[in-house]
Amino acid sequence: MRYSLITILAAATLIASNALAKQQDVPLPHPQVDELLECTEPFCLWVQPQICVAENAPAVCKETVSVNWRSEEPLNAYLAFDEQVLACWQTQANGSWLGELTWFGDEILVLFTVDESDLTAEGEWRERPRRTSRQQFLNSLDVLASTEMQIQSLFPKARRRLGSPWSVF
Amino acid sequence: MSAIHAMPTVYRTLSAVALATCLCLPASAEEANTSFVEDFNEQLKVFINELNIRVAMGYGERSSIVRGTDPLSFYVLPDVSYYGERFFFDNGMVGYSLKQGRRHEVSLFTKLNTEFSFFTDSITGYWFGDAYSGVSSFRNPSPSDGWEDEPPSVDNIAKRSWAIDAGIRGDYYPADYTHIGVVLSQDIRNKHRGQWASVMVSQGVPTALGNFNFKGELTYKSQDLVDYYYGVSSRDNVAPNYYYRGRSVVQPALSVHWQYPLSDRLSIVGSGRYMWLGDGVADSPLITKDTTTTFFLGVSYAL
Repeated sequence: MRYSLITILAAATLIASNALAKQQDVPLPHPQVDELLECTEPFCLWVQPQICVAENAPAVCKETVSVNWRSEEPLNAYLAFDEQVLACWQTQANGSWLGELTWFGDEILVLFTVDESDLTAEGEWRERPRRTSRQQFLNSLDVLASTEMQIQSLFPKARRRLGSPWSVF
Repeated sequence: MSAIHAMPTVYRTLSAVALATCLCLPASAEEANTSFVEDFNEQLKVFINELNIRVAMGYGERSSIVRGTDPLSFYVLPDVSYYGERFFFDNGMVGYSLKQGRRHEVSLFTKLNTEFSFFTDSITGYWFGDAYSGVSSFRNPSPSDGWEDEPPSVDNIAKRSWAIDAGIRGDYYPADYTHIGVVLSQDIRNKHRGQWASVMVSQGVPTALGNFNFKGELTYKSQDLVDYYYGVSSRDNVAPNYYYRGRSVVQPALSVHWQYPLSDRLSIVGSGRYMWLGDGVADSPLITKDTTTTFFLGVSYAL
């Protein structure tokens, strides 16, 4: 089943509330009630945080991330990050996941659905052959919603040096 | 020295409001207390759109392999690089990155072929491409016995020109401080008309005694390339019994680089490189050794 319209709610208030939660070392597992009410689409996904601030170079973020989703109809949903499956739900209308993610600025967090025919007798996803690129991986999925994990770096952008230092001969 | 951090970056999750606040805050204690390891990690990277110039003064030498040359001595070693988002210049290599990933990069590049540097024993000759005067390309038999029976050397062979190569390179960084590179390259100046390809693995090792970098390389050089520089033929002013046709080689090389930071700008640097020439080169009557070594020890200053 494919949903045409996807909504990702990542209001500043959400992230702010998460920052508040970080201070107390208790990440909020669910979106606040008013955020849930805002979901008028067939499918909604909340990810917090989606952005982190790196104070040093190289820009790397390692964060506890909370993911919540809600659907009008029950479905088989899989959550993947950087082409790795993190969680799956069978015939559910909502779900939540909380875990640590490391991102470098261009990774995609994606929630996709899987046809019954792609499930084993035990209800596990029959994993498709490994794709060569992220785009191919995304193209091969029936995507419900996706979001890019971002980094705001306070430092000038750096890149790896390709040549060897002092190699003049 | 502080403990090795798997991930030296300090990060913090903040809202847009908190971001603005953070920009006004003084640097955190962690940031101020930069460890050796963090410095080392930063050395492997460069800030984009910044010109990086370092100059090392000391003494370095590369052993001679071509008959008639002395070891190449040098006292100043420059290290110049400039990286944009995709464009880069790095010690004579100019390139453009086609694909950039978190752990890999694919780039087109062009660089000076340094093979002709073996034909000079003067660093200025090397820098300015005038390796040695060379002789006329025409035969010049001595009137008495037809040929002087002298083995080929830089004094009696035709000049070998410097070449510019261009190609594609793939760089992969499987772990912190580990760099794997693959390079395919071709002459674009129609000089040696050959190709070379190289695979290298380098590993950085930060220690209390400074930062070490160990590198292993395997370089393939095609027959045309080897023959242009190390072959001996009618273009050279030597007896025909010295004629030699170069063969393709695979040249292994090992190198180590050491850097000990004294301050933000000053460091002690040392490096050594050992390369096996391969039979296709070493069998040439122009060549007197089958390996070459390079070393340098000095103090570097970052401008």
